[in-house]
Amino acid sequence: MPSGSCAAGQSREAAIRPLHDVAIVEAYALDAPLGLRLAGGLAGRIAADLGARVVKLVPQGGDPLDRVAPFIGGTSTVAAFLNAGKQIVLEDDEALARQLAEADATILDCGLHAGLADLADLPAVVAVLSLFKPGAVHGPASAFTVAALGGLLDMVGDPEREPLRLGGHQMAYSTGLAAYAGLAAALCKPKVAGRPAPETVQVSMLDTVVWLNWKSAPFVASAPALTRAGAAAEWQVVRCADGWIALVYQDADWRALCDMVDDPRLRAPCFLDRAERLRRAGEVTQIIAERFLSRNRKELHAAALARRLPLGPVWSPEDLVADAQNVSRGLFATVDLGEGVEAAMPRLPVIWGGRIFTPDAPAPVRREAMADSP
Amino acid sequence: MNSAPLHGCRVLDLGIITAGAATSALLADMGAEVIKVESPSYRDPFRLWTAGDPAAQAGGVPPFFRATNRNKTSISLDLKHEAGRAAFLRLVAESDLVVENFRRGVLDRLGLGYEALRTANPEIILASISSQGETGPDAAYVSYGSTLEAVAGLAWMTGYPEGPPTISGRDVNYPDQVVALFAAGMIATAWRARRDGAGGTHLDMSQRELTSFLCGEAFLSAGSETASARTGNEQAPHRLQDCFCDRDGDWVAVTIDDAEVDGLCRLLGVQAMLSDAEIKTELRVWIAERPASEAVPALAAAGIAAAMVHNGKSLLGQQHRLWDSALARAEDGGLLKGFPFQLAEAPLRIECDAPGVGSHTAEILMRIAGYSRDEVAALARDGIIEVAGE
Repeated sequence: MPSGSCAAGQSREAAIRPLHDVAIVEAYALDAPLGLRLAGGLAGRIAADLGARVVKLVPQGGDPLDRVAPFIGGTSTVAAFLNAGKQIVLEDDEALARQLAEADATILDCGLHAGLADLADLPAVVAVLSLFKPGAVHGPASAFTVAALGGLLDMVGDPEREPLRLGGHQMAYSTGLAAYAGLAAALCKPKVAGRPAPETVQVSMLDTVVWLNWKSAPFVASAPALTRAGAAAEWQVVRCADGWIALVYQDADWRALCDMVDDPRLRAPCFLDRAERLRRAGEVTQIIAERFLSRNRKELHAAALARRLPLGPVWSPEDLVADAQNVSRGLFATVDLGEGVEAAMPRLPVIWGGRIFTPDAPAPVRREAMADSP
Repeated sequence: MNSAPLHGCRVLDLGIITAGAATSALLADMGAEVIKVESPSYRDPFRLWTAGDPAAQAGGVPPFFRATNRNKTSISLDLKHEAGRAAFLRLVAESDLVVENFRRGVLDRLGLGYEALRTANPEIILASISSQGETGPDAAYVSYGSTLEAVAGLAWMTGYPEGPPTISGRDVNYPDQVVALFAAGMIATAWRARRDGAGGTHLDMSQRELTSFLCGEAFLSAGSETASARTGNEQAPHRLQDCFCDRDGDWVAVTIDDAEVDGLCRLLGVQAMLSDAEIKTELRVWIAERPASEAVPALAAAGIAAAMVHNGKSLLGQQHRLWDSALARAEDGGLLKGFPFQLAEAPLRIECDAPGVGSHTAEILMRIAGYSRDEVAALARDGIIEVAGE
């Protein structure tokens, strides 16, 4: 498989990935919440893309992620996405102890961490994932109920309807980003006798959600609590000829937006006042939607680019795989999922000194880890 | 001895608003020395956003700026002026990192693109956080967080079933928040690699690409029959998942897996052979008959994940019980952003409040860039730098 591309003339040393010297073990308790498996999975995927040797231990019955929809050709796309570039090894007590003894760092859920008989045998750097703060007493929970507690559900959707989650696995994956950031920080500590300095990174999904949703907290004590605004929100998603476009703009963009929409009703002097526009948000949105219905997303995208307006055509994943911006930056690699199925795999979203780190295809499950990374 | 992971790392922070400034804040939390760079003629826009706060309107530090820029020092120099640029490059020569999230082209027009920085310091790491990336036909496309949700695939996946795509909106702007987590991780990794001999580099980080990455599995099934758009709150592999309104108008979020259906049916007093839609209807009726304070513990006793939907105010009531360090308090009690993770050996802490504009200009120019007191006074006299209190 490709192991990353590099610009012509780059030395072999320069093409070494930044975490080439780090070995990480990812492991979970049998009853670990799905959200923590997904969070740790993303942190491990990032580390693998950056060149770390990541060994993920899975139960004898197989990786629970293999049972998470959607599937393509019998393969879980969630498992394929998160396991790319890792060695997947069947777990037993001996394998776990051996892998942990050889690793520089480990990503564990709090259940497995608490259950390990001898914490002294853990690698120097340990990232412990939990749904709540360490030691919290709580009942059954999921990423969805954590989003509820963190106030994020309350911020999305229509106030006349139920609060709405963000699509995909955003709570788990943002927790994975926090876990990777903590892990990366811990690995920055000066080494002790050639080994990483000891550090435990505590990553709680609820803390991550509250941190993400910080603007809804009462920074101004006298202000009313923020909540989802639905049709009254300044930013709306409106219909256009071939789909939808997010109507995102700031006060300073109003005149350019009026020029782009080109409807005399919007040029009424009263709409120059943002407060008035907010009071009549439904009317403003309706006028714009009427005009956009005859224009497609590509036309609107070009018009917004020309006027430096932050409107967002709603692209589907299929649109995005073929999108000119993504193609020009090599965002997707084609990977073989087996049985003749090929799929688009997003690379790590950083271009590092002109290099992209091409993701590897998911590896088959093994009984033993290989000695060296590919 | 200071055991903070990024102790000894110096960051010049050109980051503004959330994406850039929050990234640098995380680096500061990890122990880096972060110098916020503003200009006599250009402020971080968060300095101007009072959010209706009476103290900010009376001249105090606006709350969102304060929340995002604690643990930093501040310098003000005019990067459009030759002498200001020269001062910045002298700081670059003595620094490890530059973080920026200007519109693409701004840094180059200032004569401070990566090549200029590298000339001043071959070991410098430039972390560029942009909407669409440094290159490509959309590089100049102006975006806010919710624009990126639309163009990256997240809005397509978010929404009520059969309803329109949905964005998180201006009060969340989700891509602006997550990019700080990602960028801080990449920057720490680059700093570590540089310490081990990898040299300086330019990190080109696109918020749009990150947002797509966080929808990663959707691309693997793109265009296939299994690709699904918006499913509301329902989500595989959970059997049932949604929010239900309680007796008092509060919402209760519930996730039910296959193994819990029998227990739920016993709790509801219905037969387990009902369809999922029928079970959901029964659950809706059952929750509507009681307060969340009764429904949530009863569901939990049946092994079912359930929680009341909190808002930004009520979630504070769970601090120290269910969450800890995501928000912090200044000495005067004001709310600050805290930390998305915590380190056991070198705990992240708020060491100092957000600085006023140019609070440390003179001290930084003398200590780090080697300017004399007289040279600093001359720069201030010429309006090239801003020294707090003058």
